[in-house]
Amino acid sequence: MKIHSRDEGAANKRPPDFEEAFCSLFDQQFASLFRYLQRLTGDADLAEDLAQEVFVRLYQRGSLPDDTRGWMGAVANNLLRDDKRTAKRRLRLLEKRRDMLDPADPSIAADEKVLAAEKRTAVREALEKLSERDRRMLLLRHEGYSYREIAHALGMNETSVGTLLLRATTAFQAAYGETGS
Amino acid sequence: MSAAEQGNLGHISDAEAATVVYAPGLDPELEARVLSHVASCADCGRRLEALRIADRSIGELLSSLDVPAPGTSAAALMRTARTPRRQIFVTSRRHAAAAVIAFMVVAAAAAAAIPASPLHRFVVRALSGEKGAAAAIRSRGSAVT
Repeated sequence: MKIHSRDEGAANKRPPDFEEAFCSLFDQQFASLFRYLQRLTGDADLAEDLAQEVFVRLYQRGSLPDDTRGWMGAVANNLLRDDKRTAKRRLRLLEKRRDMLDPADPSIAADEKVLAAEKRTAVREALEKLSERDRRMLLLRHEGYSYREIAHALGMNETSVGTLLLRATTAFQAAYGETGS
Repeated sequence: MSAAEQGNLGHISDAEAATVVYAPGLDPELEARVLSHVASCADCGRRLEALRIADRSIGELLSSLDVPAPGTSAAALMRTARTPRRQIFVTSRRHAAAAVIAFMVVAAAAAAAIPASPLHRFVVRALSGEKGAAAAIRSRGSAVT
């Protein structure tokens, strides 16, 4: 993925407290961004790559945008769109250490696992039935994004976020009602 | 008539209900107006409550999709971000192009050195043709003088 020369120039003029602010933001937001992308794509590896790329770009930008979460959401959505378009996956940036849930965890009863898997499938299918915009809106909302941040991340008018979110909620309920019940 | 009284006349709109549920604190005046209306309108009260329940329920359903976040550190990302990836990419492309050109030159020289190769014959013909033409010019020159 390209690094814009504008960003390189900005990176040379990082304010002295930028790295501290970046680390703090990373601690607060990385898990949330990863969760959003993982829920959206259903692919934890892709979500991790994209979330890392967003933070790499933020660091290379050299300063924090005014609406940081909106900016990160917009960049993540653009990266995901590019990834879908090219159907390419970038190499892992870092060695991963993921403590995935052990499917053979003896503390979870077999029938509970089956029920949990069925629920996940139903939720995933309900999300798939939504339009791309509704899906993203709903997931951003449930990551605690404000109207303004959702509008920025999805490139829409802030005043229409509430009504569209209400429709997305209704659409999800209907879709889950079809698959989940 | 105050704004709150005017709001009490009609039921709450989708946008108003959404703002109260999805963006609490965004518009305190609107929130107060909606809550005042809901206190005297059972239909809107039920609608608002249903919206809150749906929001909570969707949140719980979505959380069933979650996996633990990867153990990436900010320091590791900053190290990655400092690597000038584009420069590395350009440099490696230049090296690859130079290697391809060098290989083609060596291959052409090797092919020209093999007597049975068409390239060798072409080179020999070209050189002998040049010699023949030079000799013809020389002999024409001597005949004139």
